[in-house]
Amino acid sequence: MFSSQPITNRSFTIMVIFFMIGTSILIAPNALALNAKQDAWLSCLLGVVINLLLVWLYVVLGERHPEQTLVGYSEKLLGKWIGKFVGLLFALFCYLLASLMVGDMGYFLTTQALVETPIEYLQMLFVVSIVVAIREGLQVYSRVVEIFFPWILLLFLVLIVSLAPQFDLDKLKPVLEFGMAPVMKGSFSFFSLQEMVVLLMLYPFITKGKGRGRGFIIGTLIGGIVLVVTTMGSIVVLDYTQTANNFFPTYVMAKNISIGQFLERLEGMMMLIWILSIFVKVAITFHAAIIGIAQVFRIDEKILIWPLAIGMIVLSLMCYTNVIYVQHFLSLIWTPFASVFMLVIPLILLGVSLLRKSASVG
Amino acid sequence: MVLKPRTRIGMLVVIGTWFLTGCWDRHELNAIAIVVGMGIDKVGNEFRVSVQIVNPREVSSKGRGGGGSLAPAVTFEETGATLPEAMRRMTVLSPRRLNFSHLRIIVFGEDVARMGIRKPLDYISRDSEMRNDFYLVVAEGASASEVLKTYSAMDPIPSNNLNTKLAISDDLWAGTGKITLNQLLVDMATQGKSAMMTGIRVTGNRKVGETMENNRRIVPEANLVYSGSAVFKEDRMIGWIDEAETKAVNYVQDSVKRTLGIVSCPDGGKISLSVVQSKSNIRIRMNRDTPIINVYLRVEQDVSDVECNMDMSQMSTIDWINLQGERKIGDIIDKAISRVKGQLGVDIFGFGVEVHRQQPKAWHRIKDWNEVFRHAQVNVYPHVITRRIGTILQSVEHQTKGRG
Repeated sequence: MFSSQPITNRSFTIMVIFFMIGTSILIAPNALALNAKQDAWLSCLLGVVINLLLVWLYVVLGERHPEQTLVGYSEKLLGKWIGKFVGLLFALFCYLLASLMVGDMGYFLTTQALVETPIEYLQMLFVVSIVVAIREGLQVYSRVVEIFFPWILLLFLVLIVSLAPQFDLDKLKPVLEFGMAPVMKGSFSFFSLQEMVVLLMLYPFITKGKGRGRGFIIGTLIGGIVLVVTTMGSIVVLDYTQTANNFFPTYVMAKNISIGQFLERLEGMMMLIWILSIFVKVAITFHAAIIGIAQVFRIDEKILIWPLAIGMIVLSLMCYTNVIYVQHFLSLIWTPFASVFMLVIPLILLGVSLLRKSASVG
Repeated sequence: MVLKPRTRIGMLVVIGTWFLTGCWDRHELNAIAIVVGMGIDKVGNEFRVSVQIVNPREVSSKGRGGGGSLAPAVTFEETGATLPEAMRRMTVLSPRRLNFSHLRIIVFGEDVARMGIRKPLDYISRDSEMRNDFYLVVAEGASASEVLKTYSAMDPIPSNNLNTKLAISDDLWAGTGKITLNQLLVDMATQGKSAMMTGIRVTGNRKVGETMENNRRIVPEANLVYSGSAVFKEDRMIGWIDEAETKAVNYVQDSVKRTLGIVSCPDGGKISLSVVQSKSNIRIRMNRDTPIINVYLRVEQDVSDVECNMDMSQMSTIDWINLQGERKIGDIIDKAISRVKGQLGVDIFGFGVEVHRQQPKAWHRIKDWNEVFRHAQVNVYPHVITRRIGTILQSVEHQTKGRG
């Protein structure tokens, strides 16, 4: 499925930005404001820093095994059976994540915009376009992402600039009212929403060299800045009380745009940004799951796409019984659960990799 | 992948159906009723909801027969135990499906405001069709449905009329306040600030106001007039403040864009001063546990007219005008604060929010802010600068007096 031509660093960086923005731009401010109140943006900043540290870990790990995916080198490092088991767990984590995001997408659209449309049809339509993207291959959809990028950037800037008259920066005060504890609590639940570790499954397909790791880090940073600005915007426009009580605060924030009574109803732009970025994120995550499963069982990726895509819709409907259930899941279970894959597994792999190297040297 | 033509066509048809799925939520323009105004009253245990709908045939510029033989808007009323129930039941009245995304104004009847607005506000903020670009007002001495039944002059759709009237008076006069849903919810959720909504009154003959006769006259028999503001304690309305007091609140909250004030000359005449810019800055100092609230105002004004015999060419006159302006503004605000403290006892000025922001430690020791507010010392320091005095120098009185 892959042509031999690797993905350029430029499009990788853009993919990282999209991946970082992903679902978070729409749902993260809510949880952040719930924990950290008016300090949500600080919480977000801290979460981005944690993500940068994690990405640095991934780059170190990825560069030690430049030709293989995470599933590939876990088999090499941990031995055939344990390695395959860990690889399979990781692939299933990606699969669950992708279907959760499909659920997110469906719930957002049916809550805010297409209230009467059955969620199944929206998800089917969405998943079909993802399948098309993945069948065409990483080469093709990475270029699509490059085409999306200037638009997203433009729309985001238009959104922020047209909201600027409504910014009330005093709403950020008092800073650190309850100390660092709530800020850290907020960032703890925030950092696990970006799941940058998934990109390690695509890492070997990027042009090798220094630019690869740098792109990963720079992309995370830019995406992080977008998230911090959005969170801050949501607080200074809506106040933290309303940010915390809306499921999709940034969408509500965009609804507030009103310039001279004619530049109004721009929330569609927010929706577009979100749908495009979640599309990229789901495509990459689903692709990572497929690559992982294919590598574990040594089967052709192409056979897997359709059945797993259909399964993804079913899984998302099963996981997403209602929005409260998902909120509970995200706030209580997701961070420790995701940390296993985002922190523990990469750390173990890196540790073993370092040990093996020193053993072979000694 | 090479496919047979038949398979290709088959796939196209299947894919085509997917793209039609968005049509589940289609609402054709000629099948929706555009709700521009909503009124909420309490009748017994139930809510009575009035929705004002644009009458499409009457407001379109083309094909308008007989110069408005039909009412420009239609108001339907329905009761229900909850707001959504009343809305749904409205389908037995309205020939079209109600669409709320162009709502211009929500009117609360005074009785429902006094009983609490938390319950109706939930639906309004939960429903996805509602936006944040409409204003909320309270009907003074009337039910919301009476307000929405009154014909309005000039802009024939009453809700539109109410919306623009509020925006313009807020902008030029500052004796009203336009409040949006988000703002109201924030005020109600914030400890150190009580909510306020502008009041709307029906003046004149209400019976005639409900007929088209009202719009046929040059001087409308009845009219919808904004006056003062309703003050809320949490979600319950507890009283009214008048226009000057509303203006004082606007000064303190830094929401005066433009307004006009009058000062008296030594010889008994009057000078009108039009405020073109106002910036307020609230500073909180703590004296042990009681806050001292200092309000610094920087106001820029133009002289609009001089109805007395003063020598406008002198610097000292301008200084004198500045001083009078400062006294006047200080006076309005002082009076408003002492009345609000004494009679209403809730902080509508948002001083508590500033205490929270500037003295967070002291704020956490305060249990009941309104209690502290009632005894807090508030100092107002207006600083007025005169910028322009219009196109002529001396007053007409100065030029013409004793020269015939």
